[in-house]
Amino acid sequence: MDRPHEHNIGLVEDTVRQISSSKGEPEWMLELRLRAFALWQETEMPKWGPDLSGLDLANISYYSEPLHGASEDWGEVPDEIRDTFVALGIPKAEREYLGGVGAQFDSGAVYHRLKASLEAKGVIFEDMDVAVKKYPDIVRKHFMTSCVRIEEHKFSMLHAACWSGGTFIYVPNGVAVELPLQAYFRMNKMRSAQFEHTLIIVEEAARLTYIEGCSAPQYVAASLHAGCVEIFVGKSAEMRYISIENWSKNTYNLNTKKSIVAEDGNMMWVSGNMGAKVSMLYPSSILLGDRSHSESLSIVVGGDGQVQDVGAKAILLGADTSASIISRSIASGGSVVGYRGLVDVHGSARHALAHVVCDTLLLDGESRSYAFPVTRVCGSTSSVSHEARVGRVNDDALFYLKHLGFSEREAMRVLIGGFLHPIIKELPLEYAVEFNRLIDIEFLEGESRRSPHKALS
Amino acid sequence: MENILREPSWFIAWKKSMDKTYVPNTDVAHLPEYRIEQIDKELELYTLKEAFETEGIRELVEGLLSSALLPNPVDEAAAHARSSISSGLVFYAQPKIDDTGIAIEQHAVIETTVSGHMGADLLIIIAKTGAHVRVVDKVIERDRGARFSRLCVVLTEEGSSVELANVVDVKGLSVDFQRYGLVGAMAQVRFLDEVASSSDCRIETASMLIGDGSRSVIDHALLADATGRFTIADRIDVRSKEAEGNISVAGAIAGSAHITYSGHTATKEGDIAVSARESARFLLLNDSAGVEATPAIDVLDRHTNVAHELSITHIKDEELFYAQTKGIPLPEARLLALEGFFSPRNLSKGFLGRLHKCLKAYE
Repeated sequence: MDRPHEHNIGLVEDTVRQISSSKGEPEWMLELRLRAFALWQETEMPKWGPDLSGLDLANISYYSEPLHGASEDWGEVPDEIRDTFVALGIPKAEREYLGGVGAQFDSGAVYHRLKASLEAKGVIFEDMDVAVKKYPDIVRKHFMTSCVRIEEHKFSMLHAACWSGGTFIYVPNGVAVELPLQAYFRMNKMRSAQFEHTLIIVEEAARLTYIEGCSAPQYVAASLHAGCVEIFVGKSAEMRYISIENWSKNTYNLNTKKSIVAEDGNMMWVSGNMGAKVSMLYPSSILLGDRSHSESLSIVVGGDGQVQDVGAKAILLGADTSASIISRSIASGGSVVGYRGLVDVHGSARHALAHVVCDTLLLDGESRSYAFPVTRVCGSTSSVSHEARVGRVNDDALFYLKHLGFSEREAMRVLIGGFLHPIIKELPLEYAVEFNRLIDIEFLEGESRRSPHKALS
Repeated sequence: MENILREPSWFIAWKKSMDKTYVPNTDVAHLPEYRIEQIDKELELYTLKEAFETEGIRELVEGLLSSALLPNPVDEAAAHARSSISSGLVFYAQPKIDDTGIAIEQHAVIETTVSGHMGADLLIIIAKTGAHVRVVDKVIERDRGARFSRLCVVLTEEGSSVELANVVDVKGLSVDFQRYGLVGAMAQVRFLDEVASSSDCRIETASMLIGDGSRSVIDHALLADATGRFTIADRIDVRSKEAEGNISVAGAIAGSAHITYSGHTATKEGDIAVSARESARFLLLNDSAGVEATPAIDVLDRHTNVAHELSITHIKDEELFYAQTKGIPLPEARLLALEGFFSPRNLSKGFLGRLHKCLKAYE
């Protein structure tokens, strides 16, 4: 496919200005981008975590101007792009059980539609590029101001400078969005970067489930995904954010996700991380309001030399706040699977409770697992507990199942399924089925886990 | 400067290699003082000076300090502490066999009194094949505001065991321990602490499980009160098969004291049938107290079982209420809860007394 408006291998200020002008953004957004770009230039690469030396930031395309705008009709989406999403099952899912769908191809949205019944209730589900212009006041107030700050780390700075596309969702007071909304991000171009920005505001006593999926075809050269998710959970509101990250194994996935939760609010992160060459993902919840609660459930699957440095953070500020972090990981094929997390209970968080569990199964002798859970507590009224186990599939359990007639492969599948079940059961049924299928492919069939997309690679 | 302590040149060179700003110690009046309360007669004990002058022991000490197995100092402060060593003790244990042919444990109880501005010493315990040794060392502060550093190296040959129990009950003395266990095949090293302090306390403990079937236990009972700042770093480095490591910490924090704890259990490929466990528990006694804990693990072989657990909590109202319903007054109920937190350790009277005073102070 011809792409005459590709920007630019390597990142310079002109690229940042071009991104902003091609989108017709307001002046304040350009200023934000330029400030972020200046910070990014003077900030060093992080000295902790996995090795990022394979990421050649000087030889990545940071923006590919979309040839077409977003449509509300799959029939209007260019054939080759539509076929990609059909193969991924997106239009079918939209018809059968979703309240709205957004689809992004490289740097721009190609499809965006919300059910009329939700629009009538005042729900906004918009492409982020459009939202900046259509809802400037609310976006400007929340966009990388208090949740994820531009200065947070080198890749939040890069994201702020280069962001393109993404999702804006606003749910008014008291509105319960019963059907999930979904966005799917496809990074199709070789040696490229995707920086979608997701901003979700769930107002008082509102309710929302949002699902993000992502993938890319397999190339040799490295690609970068440095998206950002900011979620504001209002008083007594409930938010469930589900993501299945299945980037190809040449992708560096350095996503930043954070939520701020108000009084009596409830935030749940459910993540399935299977792809990418290197992942650094730490969904964070700031429990600002009294009695707010967060849960983070994650499955991490490492294979074929991948490095999954994944965890979660909970910062407890309000009284009677609580947080739960559960991570289940599987490592095989010489992968490195690590948990890196933080529970920080401030003195103001009286009677706070937090619990962390991170367990890993090592399936072969070449893989590695580590855990660096940091816990800070100040004050004498809170309680925090943490436990972690690393080991292999229990020989006794394997023997027992084989004794009942299971083959070794079937027995392993049963035990791995049982290990992951507490998290998989929180996924929507269709995603749980898909995730189980991907695990079968990854561990038990020895095929490329990208086989559904081979024809498109 | 004059070599007042008449240390051998290799030892001076070793200290210089630690810290390029090394200056020979001339404050001989304030060297740590040792009092032997009890020692089995078969257990050989040398001062550092005597060790330097005794053939066989001298070579062992030099070999241990220059061994590649001895970890490097973690930072400048640790390096400076090593370069300041000016006295010490060396225990050398041969197996002691009773009439029935069974190897029995040899004991020593010593007191180390620290005075003056700063003291730094070296403690070496060598257990030959089949020897079993238990050393209890109590650190006494004579002058508040002093600083005491100790480098401790324990070497256990095949089938031997060493238990080193440090008892530290101080108010103004800052303490810095670097302790390393080199554990041979079927041998065991246990580092046990009871530390109560209102001042700075830094303890780094690492066991290298070198021989197959080796074991190590690192166990701390800690009380940080007033403005105490504790930095505790434990590491079990598995380099063999069928090894077992156990790290256990129980710490109570009061006043505006703070404990920073890091644990690390690391195994490498080929370390099969390894079992390791880290357990850290902290009890915060008032609102200004704080703790930061990172019990880390790093596993490279699937034929291992490694687990860790952490809990940070406080004395719960329900526990106190239950005790009171049984007729126990509130102050006693709090003390029972605090003692119970440290169980199943058998705490010394000194430590229990300090717990008692601490509770009274922060009621």
